[in-house]
Order: sequence, then structure tokens, then C-alpha cells
Amino acid sequence: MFVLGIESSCDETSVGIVDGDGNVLSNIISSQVDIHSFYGGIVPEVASRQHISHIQKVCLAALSEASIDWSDIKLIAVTNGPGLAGSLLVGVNFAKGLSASLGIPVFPVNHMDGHIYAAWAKTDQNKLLDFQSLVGEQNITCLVVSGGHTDLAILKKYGEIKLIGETKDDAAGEAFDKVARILGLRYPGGPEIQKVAEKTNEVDSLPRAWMKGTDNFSFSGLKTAVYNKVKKYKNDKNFSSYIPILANSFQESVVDVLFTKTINVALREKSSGIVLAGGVAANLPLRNQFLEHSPIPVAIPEFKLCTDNGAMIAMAGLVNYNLRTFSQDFDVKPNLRVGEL
Amino acid sequence: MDKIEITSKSELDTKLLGKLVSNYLEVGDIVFLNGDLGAGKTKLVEGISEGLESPQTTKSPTFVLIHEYASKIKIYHCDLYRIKNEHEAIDLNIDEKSEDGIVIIEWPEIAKSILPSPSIEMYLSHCDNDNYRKIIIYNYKDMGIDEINKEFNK
Repeated sequence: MFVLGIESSCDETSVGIVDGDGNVLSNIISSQVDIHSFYGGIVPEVASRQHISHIQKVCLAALSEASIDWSDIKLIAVTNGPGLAGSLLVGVNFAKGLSASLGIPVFPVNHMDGHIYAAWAKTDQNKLLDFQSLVGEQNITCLVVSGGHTDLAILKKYGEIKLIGETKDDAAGEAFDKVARILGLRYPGGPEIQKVAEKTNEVDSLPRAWMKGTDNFSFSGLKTAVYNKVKKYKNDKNFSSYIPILANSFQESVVDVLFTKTINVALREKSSGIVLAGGVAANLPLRNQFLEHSPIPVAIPEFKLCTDNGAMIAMAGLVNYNLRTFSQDFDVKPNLRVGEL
Repeated sequence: MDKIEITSKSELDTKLLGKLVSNYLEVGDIVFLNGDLGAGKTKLVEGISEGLESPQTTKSPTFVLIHEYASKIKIYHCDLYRIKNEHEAIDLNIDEKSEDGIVIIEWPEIAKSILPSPSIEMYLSHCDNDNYRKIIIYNYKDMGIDEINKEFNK
């Protein structure tokens, strides 16, 4: 069995193919990051136009790299939300067209769930942990962190995903981008801040928003705190050497809050494991904090499966195909939240 | 047109201002919020949303450009931070949205030429004191600005 996954919710057009065991055979990503970097962010109109011109080429490249034929595909999985309506439409309509012409089912995937199931993909270094093999039987705590989301959710029986906490203002990835801008660094902000922060071990004190009594997050205050530090020291002659310290302190604050709150939830919800996913899960200090200090087993997708990609959508289709029933009759849902179908 | 200038001394103050403003908002109103990163624009929207008894969380719409909240009156919360020119804002159909709700727009500057005129426009800026914000309010509708004056410029 081969599953074809299509992702076009934001700025990447991507098609991935996985086999029935969860091996990733191909994962072609046509990134628009250069175009959007020019604009300082993602632009909806530009994005959907790019998807239309890329999707067929990307799909054919995925088949070719996996060395399989159209007739080998048994299931199509496609992101139907959340995301930019115009961009989602390109992927969903392409998937429905393929489904009709090949006579095979098409499975709608919540993009956020796709990030989570990326952790189930098998790679050379990455063997499935015990808790992953038992998916749908025991609680798994999932933290999905990206440019638009910071969601804490529990993956429960039969693949049901329940959102229990989210950001009340800025998403973690958005905070990285905005703080990078405040510090005069480039877009996307995540890799830039990580790189600059590596230059120092020093930290300055920055706040942590614990949102006590809730499982929610807040990063807006932290962003403002960085702004205030810059305002205070920007005319100092040593300001350029202070930037790495600020980047490091900001990153440490984000990692600290994400890690501590996720572990608390995982313990409280008697989770058999933790999945850390989404674009921000590519951040090295965040990964290391989870891998080295969590009292509960942690699965994190490999780097290239953390950011938006088609293989993670195919994985969500593959894992859920056996866990859930699904309707062929679906539409794009730009406002879909974690766990919603 | 009235113009008043107030000083918010905390996030709570900024939120309270949002609540006071919400009392005067009705379907069709458009609110512009200008100000640097971290000036409190999203916090102000939170106050407006709470004032209108929305059960939903207000979050930064930077990434997706627009959020919609159900409340006594529907609220459209837009953020043009990432947009580079006015053409990219056309997709958001602001005119159409103002027909059935209140439209609040953060970072409107870039697309002002295609946006409808605001009912209220606010400029938020950082002050020397890290917690303080100077907020200038331009009131283009017949809003009871006295109440805001009374609360903040005691």
C-alpha cells in the first residue's frame, strides 16, 4: 500500500509518498521561502498562484523519486485546513481530481494533526518508540509549535485529538519571527535566533508567562520585554555584542515554558509518551531539552519533517486510515483547530 | 472629529480602554490600530472582544491575516503586518466584512489607500517607562469620548 500526501496550506507546495509501514519514499517540497523572504512574510495571493504552478511538477517528481506508478497509490491524503483558503483549495481540488481519475479514496487531513503524525514516519535513525506502536490505546501528549500555532493536545483512543491549551496571543514561531525583526535579524526568525544565540552562554533576565492554572501559553509579553531591552540599550556602544545574549535569553525563556508546561500536562494526563512537532520543533535547544530532560519518552520528527511537508500528511492518512472513519465529501476549512475534522 | 491623548499605565489599562471603546461600536464600524511591535494592539482588541462578551480567545492574526470572533456583534480582527502592498489586502474583502460586523485592523498603514475610512483610529506608542503607552485616539464617529477622558485623564 502506498499513500500520497498533498500539502498546500501555506507557503510550501509539497507531495510525499509513504509505504504501508510508514517509510518515507519521497517528499518533494517546493519552497516559496525565497519569494516570501523578499516580502518579509507569507503573502496569500502570491502563495496560491505559486501552488497552482508547482503542484503538478511536485507530484510527478514525488512519484518518480519513489519509483512507483500512479496505479500503485491506494490512498490520497490532503490538507484541508487550517491555512490560507486560496492555497488550501489548490491542494484539495488537485487531490479530488486525482481521486476521481484513479478511483481511490481521498482522506482530509487536519494540517496540525499532520505535524503530529510526522513523528510516526520511519527513517534510518528513527525507530518507532513503544508508545507510538500503541497509538490510539493510551494518551499521548502532543505539543505542536509553528509560526501560526502553539497547541497542546492529547491524542486519545481511536485517534481522537483533544486540544487542551493554546497561545492566548502570539504563536511561538511568530514570537521568534518578531523578536528576530526587533533584533535586526532575518526572516525566518527561528533559525536566525538559534544561530546568533549559539555565540554566547550568557543570559539576561527575561520574563516567562506561565499562565498559571491553565494549559495555555502567552509570548506577547516576552516579545515586548525584548523590545524594551533593545530600546534601553540600542545606543550603547556594545549593543552588537548584546544581541546574542538577548537572542539566547529569549530562546531560553520560550524553551523553558514550552517544556515545563508540556511535561506537567503529560504527567497529569498519564501519557505514555510525548510528541513534539511543528516547525519550531526543528529548533535544536528545544529538541535537546525534551530529549535530554523529559521523564517520559519523547518522539520528534526528523528535521526535514518538522516544517510543512507532504509526507507528514501521507503519514496522518496512513495512521488514521485504520483508526477512524472518514467522509469523501469534504471542503477546505481555513479555521480548523487541532483535533477538529 | 475628536482627538484625545491618554496614557495607559499597564496592560490592564490598555484592555480597559478596549472595553470602553467597545461600548460605542456597532456593525459597520472600522477600527484602525497603529503602533510598533509590543505596543499593545492585540491587548486592546482583547479588551474590545471582552467588552462585547465574546467567549473566544483573541490571538494575534499575524500569520493568517484575519481572525473572526463570535460575540454580541461579530468581530473581524485583521493584521496587515506581513503585507507589502495594498493589492494583497484586497483579498481580505474588508468592505464586505464590515456589512455584518466590526472590523479591527492592525498595521493598516500599508493598505490605507484601499481600506474604507475608519470610525476610530488609534496610535499606540512605547514610552520611557516600559509599562506605559501613549495612546492617541481619533474619533470620527459620535462616540462618548468623555467617558474615556474621565477614566484616563482624571
